Amino acid sequence: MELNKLNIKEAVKGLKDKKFSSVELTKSCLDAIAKYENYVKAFITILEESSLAQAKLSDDLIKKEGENAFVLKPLLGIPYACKDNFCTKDAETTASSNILKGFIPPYESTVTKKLKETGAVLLGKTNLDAFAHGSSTETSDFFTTRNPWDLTRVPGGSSGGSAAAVSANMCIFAIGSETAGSIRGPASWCGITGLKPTYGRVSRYGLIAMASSTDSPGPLTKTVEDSALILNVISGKDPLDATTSPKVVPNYLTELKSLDIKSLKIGRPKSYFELDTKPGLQKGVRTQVNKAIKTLEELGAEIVEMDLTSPKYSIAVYTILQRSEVSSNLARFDGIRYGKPRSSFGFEAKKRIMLGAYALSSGYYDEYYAKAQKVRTLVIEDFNKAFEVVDLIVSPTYPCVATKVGESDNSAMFGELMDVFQEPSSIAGLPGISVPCGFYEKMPVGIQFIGPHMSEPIVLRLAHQFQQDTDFHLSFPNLERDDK
Amino acid sequence: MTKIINIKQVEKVGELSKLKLTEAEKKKLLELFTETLDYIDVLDELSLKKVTETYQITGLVNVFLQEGSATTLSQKEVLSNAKEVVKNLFATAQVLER
Repeated sequence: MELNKLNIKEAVKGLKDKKFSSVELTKSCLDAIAKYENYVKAFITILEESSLAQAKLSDDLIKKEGENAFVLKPLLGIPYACKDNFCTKDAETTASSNILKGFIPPYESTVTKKLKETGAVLLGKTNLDAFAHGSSTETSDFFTTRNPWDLTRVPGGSSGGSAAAVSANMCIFAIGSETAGSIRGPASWCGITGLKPTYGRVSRYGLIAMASSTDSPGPLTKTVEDSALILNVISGKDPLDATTSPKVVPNYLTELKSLDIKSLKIGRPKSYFELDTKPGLQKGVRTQVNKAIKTLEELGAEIVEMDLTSPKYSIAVYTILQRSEVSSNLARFDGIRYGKPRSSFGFEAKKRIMLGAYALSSGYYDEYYAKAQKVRTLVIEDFNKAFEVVDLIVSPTYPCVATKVGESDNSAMFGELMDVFQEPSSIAGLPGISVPCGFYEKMPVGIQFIGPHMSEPIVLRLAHQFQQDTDFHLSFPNLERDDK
Repeated sequence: MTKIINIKQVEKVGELSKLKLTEAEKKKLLELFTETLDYIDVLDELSLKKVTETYQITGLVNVFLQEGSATTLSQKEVLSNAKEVVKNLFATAQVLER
């Protein structure tokens, strides 16, 4: 059995039944990393020694307490990969930037702390666009991660390293963060499941800030069920992040089982399927997504043709807000308290900081920042009206399949145009999930479901039901092929 | 919307952001800024007279940290990534003239 290919549910069962140990499971992931990392380039840091030591401790606890050990630690002994913009105490955290190279955080992010407390084993830190500024990992100051399905293509971003690591079975699951598309996008291009929770559901404490008003940590997994389990662990009010919601965290796994999708009304927004931005919606992607919608219909969901305002306005809003928040957040890098001098910033970071500073400067504030926040209100109202009629909204995740390495180079707006279907829901703080729904040009295509605030139970339920009826999520790239 | 941006403005914003730019970077940034600002013009199509701003979407207000509930880092931890430490303090470049 290739243990690295298991999902969380299968791995937990194997550990409970003592079919294998956490050390064996962790070694199997480390072996896959050793074998394919040279081609995929998903990791910035590989924590071989500490992960094996933690796996050994997990095995000792399982030996001592048996299945009971999993009651308080549902992820006991499960190896995972974490995007390198989450601070991990005593383990280098770079956000893929030269300026933070060598930075050893003296504290732990809330997300990684919760994962540690529930037993998960940290295998390593994954590559991203530097400071998460991008949708391809090409703006990483270190290297570009490759898409395991085709090494000449990018994995999407910014959580591209995490998505590629899951897709290449180098880990059992991974953690990413999304500001607008950074989890769902790469999940879609790498053929895995990616969940962006409601803004405020998961704490941002210790996540290196990008755009604070939309940053949302979330899981990248092999199944929807695994995403529900991770969400159970990482959600909740955190005194260290004032924007976290005090609302009770339901048991998302139990919620999956209470499924009746026959009562669900799913909106298919015309403006998303007849996209008026460039590049338009790729024909092959539209075909696969429409087929998936047919499947939902056959399962009993009611598909409602509806309209939403064109996502082109959200692209502009997001561009202004993101640059503005970046210019403020990256001001803290003074090269005195931590990190290297500001001259170490990469070109992409410089570009975003400066555009943000421009948009926020005296005389332009009303023209840009204030105007964008007004349009944000319109986007929220637009969704509110839509959710009076439908329960969820369906759309493609990315408008095309994974692009070739280098394609993003000459476009100022590459990331924004790729994230076109995530930007409206992200600036409104809504939850969304991307699941694989087919292939085009031998590359995975993703479909996404978006719901109202805190509607994760329904979003997960629909996506889970889709995976019960389809097998796209069971396909993984064959890395033994010879294009390496 | 003001969208005419020139190399002087690029230099000024670079200075305000404490970033050093090469001539080639300035030229490229001018090009990219113009492209981005042109795109943003799309917002002018919308009527915003009666619309108020949304700065954050959680609806939460007056969130305070309970006194004594936060743990703080030790001085040693805080200084652990400093470029230069003098007498247990961050050392910075000289700001004031003697």
